[in-house]
Amino acid sequence: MMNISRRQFIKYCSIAAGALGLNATDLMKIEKATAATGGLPVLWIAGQACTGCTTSLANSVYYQTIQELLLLGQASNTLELKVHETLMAAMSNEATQQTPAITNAPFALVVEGAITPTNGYCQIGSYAGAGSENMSDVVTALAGHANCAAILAVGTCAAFGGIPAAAGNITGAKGVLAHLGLPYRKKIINIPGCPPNPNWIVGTVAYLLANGLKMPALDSLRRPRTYFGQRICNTCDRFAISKSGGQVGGFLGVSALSPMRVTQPDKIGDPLQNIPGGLCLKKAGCKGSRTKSDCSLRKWNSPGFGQVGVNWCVGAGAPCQGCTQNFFPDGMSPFHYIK
Amino acid sequence: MANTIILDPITRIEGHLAVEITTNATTNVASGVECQGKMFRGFELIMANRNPRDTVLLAQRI
Repeated sequence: MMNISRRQFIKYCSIAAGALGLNATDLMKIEKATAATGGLPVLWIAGQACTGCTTSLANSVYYQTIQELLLLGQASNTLELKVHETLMAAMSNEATQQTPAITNAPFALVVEGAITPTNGYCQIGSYAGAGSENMSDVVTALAGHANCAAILAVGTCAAFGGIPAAAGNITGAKGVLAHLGLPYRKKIINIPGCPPNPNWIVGTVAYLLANGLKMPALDSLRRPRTYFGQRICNTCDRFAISKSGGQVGGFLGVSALSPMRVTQPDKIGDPLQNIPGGLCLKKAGCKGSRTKSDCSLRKWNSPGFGQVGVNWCVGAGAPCQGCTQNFFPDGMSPFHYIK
Repeated sequence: MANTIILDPITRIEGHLAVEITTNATTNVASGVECQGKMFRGFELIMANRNPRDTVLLAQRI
């Protein structure tokens, strides 16, 4: 358990507000919302998922232990995880029968994983009443509920179909918007990523709470502009170094004829320490120029409240795969070179 | 006489699992247990005919 002093709390609030792009008035709203009891009740439904998004959420700096994530959602005023198959203690009927108690007040439906319309390929239990074991039925029923304030499609699978919807699949997997159709478009917030950064998930819910469940600014793919506002190259260290004369021997020293062969390994930089001396990875297949997210600024595995993360894919020498875009993975293939 | 207990879903695991237990009504001894994996994505089918260098980065997300 980590105790937070008032000073730390105010600091965290201001950092959170900065990260969310809020002004002082909104910051006061956050403090007010945080002073009140109760977070946003969340029904977390997993479909054709790998639970990687859950793992990412559990890695959030907002929670130090799994107990905090489950029980202190009310206190920290973020996600109040009421139903989450991987984390909740209740099992079987005890788990599925909680739905009516949650849906009598405004709640958020979080969908992780793709949805298959074919009966039998994904059955998750009768969360929406008896006889609704199919994932697609549960999502349709809960999304259409009068108290459903927002539908958060967490992860690229839930947002756009992702890997389960890649070429060759036979399940007909698709994202939440494709499954529910246009009438639900106004309720849906896509938080893609494979997996998404935990701050994108928690931050979006915090924004909803601070603004009376009003939708944040979204782009054409229904992604929050705060997190998915600009292309990765715009803020990438490697891109900047390469553009400012550090382009010795071309991008990364990778031969265009044999893309897998790194001819100048010393130009990759130090992957362990994220020394920004490395050069642009475009010739190694980096899809940063086609991908919108704030990975290069926010980074991953943040060590504490509001701190920049330890590293990110491109910082570690791994080319961006473009996992926050709607045409991942087929449209981003091949990952190791640019066609 | 046999009773059937259905546990669906099993929580605190990754993926979707259901267990069906058949018990003797008088002795309460389980006579049969069936586990059902309830989610299918077809990763093997998605991997087919794909650039092997791509499959490394996709199959890790199974």
